[in-house]
Amino acid sequence: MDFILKQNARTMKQRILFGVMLLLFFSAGLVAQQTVKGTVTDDGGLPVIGATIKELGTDRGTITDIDGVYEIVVTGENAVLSFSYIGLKTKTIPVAGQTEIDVILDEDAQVIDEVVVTALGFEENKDELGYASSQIAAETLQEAAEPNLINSLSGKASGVRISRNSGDPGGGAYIQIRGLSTIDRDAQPLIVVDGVPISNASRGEQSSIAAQSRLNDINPNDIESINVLKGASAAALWGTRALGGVIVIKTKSGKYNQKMTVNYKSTFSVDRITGRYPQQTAFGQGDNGVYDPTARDSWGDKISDRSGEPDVLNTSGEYFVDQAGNLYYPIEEKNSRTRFNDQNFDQIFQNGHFWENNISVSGGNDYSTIFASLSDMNQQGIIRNNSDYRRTTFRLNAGFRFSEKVKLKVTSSYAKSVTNRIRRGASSSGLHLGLLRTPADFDQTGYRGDYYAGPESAPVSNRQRSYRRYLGSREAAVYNNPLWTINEQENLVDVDRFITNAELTVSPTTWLDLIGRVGLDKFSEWTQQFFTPGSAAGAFRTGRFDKELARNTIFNMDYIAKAGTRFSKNVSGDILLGFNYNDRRLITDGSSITNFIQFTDVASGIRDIDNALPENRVVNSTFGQERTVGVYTSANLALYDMLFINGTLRGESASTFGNTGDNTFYFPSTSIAWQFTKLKAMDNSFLSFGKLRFSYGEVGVQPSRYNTSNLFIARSFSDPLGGGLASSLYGNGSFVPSSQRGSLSLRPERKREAEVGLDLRFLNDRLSLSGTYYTNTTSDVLLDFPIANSRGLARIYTNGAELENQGVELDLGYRVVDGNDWSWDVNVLFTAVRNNVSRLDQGLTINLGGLSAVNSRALQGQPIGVLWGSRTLRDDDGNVVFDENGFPVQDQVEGVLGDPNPDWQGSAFSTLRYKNFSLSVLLETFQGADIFAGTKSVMTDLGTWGGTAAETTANQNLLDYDGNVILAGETFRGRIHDFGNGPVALTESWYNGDGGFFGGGNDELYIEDGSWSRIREIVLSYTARSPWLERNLGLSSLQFSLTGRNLIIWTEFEGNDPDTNLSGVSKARGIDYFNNPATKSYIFTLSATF
Amino acid sequence: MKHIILFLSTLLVMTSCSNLVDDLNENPNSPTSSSYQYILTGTEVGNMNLHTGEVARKSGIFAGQYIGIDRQHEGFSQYAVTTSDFDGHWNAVYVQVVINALETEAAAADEGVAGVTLGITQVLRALALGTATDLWGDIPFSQAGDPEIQNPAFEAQLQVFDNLQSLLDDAIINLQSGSGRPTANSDIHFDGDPNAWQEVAHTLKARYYLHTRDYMQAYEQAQLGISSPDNSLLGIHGNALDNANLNYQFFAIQSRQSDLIVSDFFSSMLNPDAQSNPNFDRYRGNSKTNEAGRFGYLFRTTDLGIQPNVVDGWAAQEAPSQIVTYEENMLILAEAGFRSVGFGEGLSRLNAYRQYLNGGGYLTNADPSDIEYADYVAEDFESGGMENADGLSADDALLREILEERYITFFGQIEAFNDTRRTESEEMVRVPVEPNVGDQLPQRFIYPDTEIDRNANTPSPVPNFFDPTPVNQ
Repeated sequence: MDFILKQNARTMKQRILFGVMLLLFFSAGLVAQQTVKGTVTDDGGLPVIGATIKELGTDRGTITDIDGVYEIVVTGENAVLSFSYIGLKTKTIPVAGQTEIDVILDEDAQVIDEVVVTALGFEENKDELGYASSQIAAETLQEAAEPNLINSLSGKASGVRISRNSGDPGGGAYIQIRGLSTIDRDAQPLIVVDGVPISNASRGEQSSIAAQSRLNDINPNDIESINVLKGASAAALWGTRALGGVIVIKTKSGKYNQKMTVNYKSTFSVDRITGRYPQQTAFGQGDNGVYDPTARDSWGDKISDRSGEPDVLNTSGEYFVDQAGNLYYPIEEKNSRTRFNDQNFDQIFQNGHFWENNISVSGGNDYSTIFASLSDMNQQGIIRNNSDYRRTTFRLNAGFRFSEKVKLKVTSSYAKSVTNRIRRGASSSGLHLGLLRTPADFDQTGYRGDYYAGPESAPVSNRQRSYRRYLGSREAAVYNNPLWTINEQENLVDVDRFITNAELTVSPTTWLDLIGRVGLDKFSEWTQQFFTPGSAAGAFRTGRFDKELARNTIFNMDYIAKAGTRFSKNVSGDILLGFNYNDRRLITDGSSITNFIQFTDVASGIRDIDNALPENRVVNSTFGQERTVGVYTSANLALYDMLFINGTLRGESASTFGNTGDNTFYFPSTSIAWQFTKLKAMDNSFLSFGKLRFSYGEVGVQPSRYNTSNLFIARSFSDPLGGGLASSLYGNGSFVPSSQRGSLSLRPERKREAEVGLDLRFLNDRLSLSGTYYTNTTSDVLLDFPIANSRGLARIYTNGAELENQGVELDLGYRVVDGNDWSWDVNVLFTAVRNNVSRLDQGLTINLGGLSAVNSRALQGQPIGVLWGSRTLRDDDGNVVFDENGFPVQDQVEGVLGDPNPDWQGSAFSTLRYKNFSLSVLLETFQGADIFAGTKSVMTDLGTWGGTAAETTANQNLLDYDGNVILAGETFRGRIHDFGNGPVALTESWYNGDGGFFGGGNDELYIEDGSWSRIREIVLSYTARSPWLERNLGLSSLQFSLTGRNLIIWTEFEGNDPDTNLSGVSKARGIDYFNNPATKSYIFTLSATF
Repeated sequence: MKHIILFLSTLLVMTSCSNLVDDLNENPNSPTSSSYQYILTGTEVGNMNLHTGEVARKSGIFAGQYIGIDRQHEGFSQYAVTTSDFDGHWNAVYVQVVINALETEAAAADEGVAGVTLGITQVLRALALGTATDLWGDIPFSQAGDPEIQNPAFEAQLQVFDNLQSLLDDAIINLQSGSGRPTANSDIHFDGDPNAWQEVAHTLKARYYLHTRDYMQAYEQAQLGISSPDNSLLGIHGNALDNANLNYQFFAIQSRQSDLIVSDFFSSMLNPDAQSNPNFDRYRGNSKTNEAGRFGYLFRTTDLGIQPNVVDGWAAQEAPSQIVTYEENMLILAEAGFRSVGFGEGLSRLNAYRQYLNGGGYLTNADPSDIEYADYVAEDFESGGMENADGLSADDALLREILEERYITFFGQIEAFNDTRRTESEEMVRVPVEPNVGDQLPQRFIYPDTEIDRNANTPSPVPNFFDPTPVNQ
């Protein structure tokens, strides 16, 4: 803010100065040889007010008026004019006899970058900061042409990792800055929009349905800039909210005295599946080489060996009539050679698309500014039916300048988002699970219909038909027919969200600002899940209908006093004092029914909560509230314009600490920036700027609420691998102690971080290099510490563990070519983080999520989130132990299998411009991360994986897993492999045993390299700007762009994009288990400015 | 100016920051205390869950009654078990029953209630801990269920059995006191009837004496045990999804139903149909016996094989599930009577049980024409007799029949696994269960991950799946 005021003052001074000069020229009566006039506009076609025009080599000059128009008298035909304006690139143009010169000044990206936004939303000069901060500009976001804001941040800032969970429309993503700093609490950054923190919640089921991120409610087109405050020092003013860093978002606003402009932008995208899992088509359903129409596996007969005649059917008894009237009889002899893989696939997947329309208006007069936008994004996913996302937003940002001393800024937005997402992952009612287990010779077309036990029998209606129940002869389909998944299951989330902030600034004197900010973020999230009776998973079998309304409210107030002054020529400083009040509330009300009385399906549209007996209806209702109150101060001192020192302190109290213990905690930070190139001795043209910086800060995270007491609850006792008993359905009802207990006195988790960095710019700022090293420790990590169950409890919530992160971030920028017509920029980012759980009780492993077989865990001495599961037995020397047949023996004890965290990640962003054309490419890479190929593991076990079709002729006598001999020369289905103890035959018995997933498969065998490199974005755009467009269409500019997203991925991982996650928006990562597929997109954008 | 005042007033507010956040962390969604009657109900439901769900199914697999054919249960059948497979069961003992029983006692004491209520909780605690020691051997007993004790001590199995007997003695004394009957509807089994609970306590004492092979005491206690089917301790089930019979939930609702079937070994003993019976020689039917009714009560044939009858039999939605039963008490009388008194006592007790079955017994859906259990006579057990074709001694033949009857009656109950282990060394008379893989039969549940990791007192090295518990060594 200060910075801007200073700039304004400077232009004002210049204005007066040049006015006086002009007067002098005229009064001196010098002969005016020629007059040149014209208009100065920026690259968006807007007039530039107050741009400076100077004739080089003379004292002559002028500035543009409110319409950007100027007129200057020059010394002669050979005069050369320079056009400049702060934030825009200066242009020099020879007059060469022209009398009218219209000039377009391009934005000077490097200069703009120097203004960054701090944790409290104030603008500061980046060169004076003692900590690392990454800024992402509006254009960069819009070029990404991503429907979801979070995804468009990928690869744009060092130290930031964005992990998706699938390509589902409306799917969220996990944001992680500088490693994971907590085990149980939210490690995602705090999101501050226009100075007020908002919710980035990810509610609902995390793994069975692609989870959402509420940050995606924001229309990316409304954003002016995003600043990522990575370190503890940068974020310390947010205390216990800032453990994961802070992302500060500034939305667009109109400018005072700016002509009204209208921008219309339309984006159309075609989305396609990135890849398919390889499926074999050589062998049919069955086991041991024998066809079996109800078998789980595809280890059946060789399809090409069948006669090719029609199947022999038994038409005398039971049969099934599907939704289209087709009849299915028991198969007595399978003769058909038809494969259905592709047909089955095409019945499920399509090309998705989205169409986004955005219109915005901005402008301002002397005392007010306005920015308004309307947008609509309508997406149809790549999965047919019930996979879509629609987001409609409205924003109105207004500014009022009542006087030089009193200003008001109001921003408000409304967003409505509706998604319907398909069930996925480890759910027998999930999509890919059913599809990829289906044998090649099964036609899934008939998925619902009537079962007749015999020719005379009454029909049993609305049975599901699946590959394991091809006659629908039983209620249980075992795994869903994928057509059932997309047609008979619905999962709607409908969100209405208002975010409103008002900021009043009063400046009683030139050195003092008093600022009051009040913000409200309120959303209601209506969730509705419906399962037609017959779904495979037991919980949905008898029909299920859930609905829930969640209302989330964040109310935030800040009152800030800010004073600054220059004490002497070489010393200046400012100080800030603030008060923060933050109240968060979540109320949920929901009910669900099972065991429908009357059959209703998804298509009926009937959603009657009374369609079940009272005992089959469950009602849930929760209320949650927490409040944080803080007082903070920040002081800056600038010495000799080269040394900048900052210190901050926040003291806060929070309700979540309870009343019994101490509930007030303090979080300090300090940073020092030294611009050593300001030293006289350093004055050289090669190194144009150099800054050394150091910072230290502390941030934290509060306990989750309601953990300072012990509760009695109406428990449901679950029966492992089975169902469960709800105690409230018995006797007089029940309340028993919760198996999890709180602690009377809790402290915040506290992260202490130190960072050092060096920012260098060379060759007149054309080459910039910035490096940061940091190390941080989070102590007092809060956990539901699992305890020995014999104590009568499962968990106690308390402080206890400790985590460490250290990392390096490098940012390199180079303007390779910098001409009037040509320019070429290259930016390279590098991030490496090492994480370690430095203290957690020996032997204790915290399950962060995943499958029961393989999951992410935290344990001492390992990076957080390591994959855990069954593995190969090794002797004391680390050698694999083999059984008598030459196969590796499995360890009875589970252990660490791999690390899903990358060794390093990086991106390269390059933009090439020629006149009005621009081509930019974003490459991203993610190296050295492990992934559990769970889908492959199951498909191999079941014999549907592509590789399992291999047939091998034994070149010597071989043993299979069961110890059976395969004689030399014999051809068998499987492969020869040497685990290190001589060649063995990997056959069905191996894959059904240790070599697969079920029946105690050895999970370590499916830990793969999940590294990837990709062309994240490639954008070709053309901007048309011409008098003709202006005159005839009123268009000041017209831009077309073609964007490709995710077009090429280089990875060894097969089947899906390895940037996928079973566990949703969560710390548990690195598991692929029937996740929904990722997408690549071809996007066309048209943007017109009037 | 107004804003300066506003600002100054917020300065005042700052001084009382901490007051602004007070009292907001009391969870309005749940109470922090509860009356004993509600904890008692919860304890009993936890106890039902422990005894009639997966613990019993796993026991059935290890006792050769079930065969897992897919996924996890296939692994259990291959004896491929890991420590984490037992986490939930250990939790069920201590976190679902033991602590809740103790909390009921404490809450009742606070409310001035003791006597019968205390006795009931003691029986429930003895039942859960007895099951735990049966399955795991040495277990935390005296220090169990106290959150303040960080590493509860493990007590030797034989010591635990002694403790159980005295705990049950205490329970009986309390039940006899007649006072402190729990409020109506809080005891879901007998609505606080002290007599029924005393009988259960005696049957339990008999069960544990049987496990420690103290047959005389077992016989004596069983005579005081459950005297009628009405006094059986049964799981109670309804027609809601979450109170249905757990085997109904497993075999009719949950997707695991295709993972588990009844073993040929077991079904062949009851399947009266020579065509479909995989080993009709094993069929128990003879001129005095028709098992068709029992077969139809327990099972139905599905496309996977023989599975529990979820329609109108043993695993129907509202079918009661067995925890401690009249049938068990009668069969303790038969076995312990035989072993402590002699052949005659054993035979008459067995016949008493057969008479009970012959009248329909627990076979709720059976057609009387499918049931026949005529009395056996001594000659039937003589060498060459109806029940002794292979020439054993009459004593062995009778004991063999009693043990087999127990094995059949205890289908899907933990007690079947207790029997197969206890009698394994009695080669001539035991139910001839064979290992599914290898040459050893399972001997126990392994200590769970959760206890190994978190309780320093967990026995180390952890006993193997095939190591007998002390009482069976």
